[in-house]
Amino acid sequence: MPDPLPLPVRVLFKGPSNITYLTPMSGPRTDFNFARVLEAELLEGGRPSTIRTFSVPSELAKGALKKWEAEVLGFSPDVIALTYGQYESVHLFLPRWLERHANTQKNRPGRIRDFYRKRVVRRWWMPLAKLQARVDRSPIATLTKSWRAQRTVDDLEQFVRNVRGVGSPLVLIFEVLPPAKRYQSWFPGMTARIAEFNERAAAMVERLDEADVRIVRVYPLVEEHAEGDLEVAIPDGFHWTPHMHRVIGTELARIVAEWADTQQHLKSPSRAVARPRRINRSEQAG
Amino acid sequence: MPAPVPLRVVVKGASTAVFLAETGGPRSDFNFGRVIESEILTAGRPAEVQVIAVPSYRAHFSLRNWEAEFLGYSPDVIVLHHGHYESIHFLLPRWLERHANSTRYRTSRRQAFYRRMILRKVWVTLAKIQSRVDGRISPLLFAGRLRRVAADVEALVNHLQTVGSPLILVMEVVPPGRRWQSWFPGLVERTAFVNAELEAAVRRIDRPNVRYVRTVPTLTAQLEPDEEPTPDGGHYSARAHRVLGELLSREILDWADTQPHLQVTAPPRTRRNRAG
Repeated sequence: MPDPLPLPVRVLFKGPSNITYLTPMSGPRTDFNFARVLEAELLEGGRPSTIRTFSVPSELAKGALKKWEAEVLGFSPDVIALTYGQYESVHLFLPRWLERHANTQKNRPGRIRDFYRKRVVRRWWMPLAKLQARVDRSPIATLTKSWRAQRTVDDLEQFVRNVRGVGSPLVLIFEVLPPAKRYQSWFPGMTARIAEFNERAAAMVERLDEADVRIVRVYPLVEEHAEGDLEVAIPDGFHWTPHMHRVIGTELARIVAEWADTQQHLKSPSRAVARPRRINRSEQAG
Repeated sequence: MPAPVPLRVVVKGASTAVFLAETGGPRSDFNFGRVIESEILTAGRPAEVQVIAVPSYRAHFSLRNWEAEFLGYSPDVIVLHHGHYESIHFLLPRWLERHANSTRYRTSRRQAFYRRMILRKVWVTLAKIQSRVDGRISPLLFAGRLRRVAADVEALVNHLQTVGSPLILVMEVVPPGRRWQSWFPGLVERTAFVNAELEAAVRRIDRPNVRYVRTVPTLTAQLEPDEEPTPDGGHYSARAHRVLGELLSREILDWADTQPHLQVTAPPRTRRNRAG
């Protein structure tokens, strides 16, 4: 009879491109995003893991809410890490569908298609983005701040409430960083929008008041490992360097391993999980 | 020492496969998919278990998606838990049920007002009417719907044979708990009917790797006498999930022992053949 094997800790990452993109791109295979760093670190610590990452550019928190049943119910992750709030804070008024249409990497090649992208879409997209930047500097921009951040946090809260019903997983909500200098001129109001999102997300976590719903502060990691300089941590304006991915993944591994140590089902490879106790009728009614 | 091939398992079904009657319990409250993973690992076998299930998922969706879900992954074992959702509602359509009971809607004051003051009231009224009708006329008036479930499962199982003849376990549907019996008076009969159809489909397929798994006798034997497997009426309790997971994993492990590619230590003859 072979030795029993331990149950892997299941981790689900959800968010826009800030999980999977690295600056610079196209590095060696050892340039891990932080989801894979987490996997490597957990394995290094002798803990098997199953990591799933659903991260595509421009993914919104409302998208997570829409797909939660398919992505969470069957997998039933032990840990869920969310990095929403960044994309929602980027554009002042340009809609997501237009941004995706302009910046997509899924377009098919072809003479007419290439002509359309270069001569039509690009030519319209740039003036619109410049106009947006100009409006973003004016007082009008402040009008949209509150409802946008609150809407994102409301979607996140609903998502968290739903997933906590699936066996109370650990939920980690990432603090969002403001853009580096390169993008501040393109999105002048983004720093304020992100600050507001962070504040409201922290208030939401406080309101939920559950030990296993937490904010992951990334700014202290930037201070410690990138001299507090966003140009060093996210040189392209939005996406982490391989070094910062490693730092964040290592920090996540510490949090996850610490939490997993408190979980009966992840403790030992033997039959650590006793049969669940029976819930009596009065408890159910309550 | 060569690493053994992990045993690949896919579980397909509706909310019954993933929901627990007691929501928000501890992490150790597993659905039966994860119990299977845990049991296989405890037996010292590496395992990959995927549960593809969402509320109100029908057998014909599994048939529609089988190429994408099974061809590339090529699982060793497939557990099918269909027939429950299709038996529940006598008259009300799926789109309305999904709209009324969705947990995917965004929160806003307008949405909350619509859901609480309009949709909820309309839904409960319609459900009451359905319940009254269900109690008065034959619960098997739309039996064709249930026959189609078995036909879909049969077609799916036949297609799945092309993916290297996996072990396929078709689960018996558990009759509703007391709470649902008043809402769906004909559900007991419909469940019995769909079970008979599923069992007949498995018999027609007549292959040793396609099995009908009786769940009710095991649940009755292993739970306490007055303990309902589905305390909320339709979804298994954490204890029932564990009993079912253990039952299925026993079947899976026995089958895996007979499969040369799943031997934890590869037999010498297989190794020689590979080398040659």
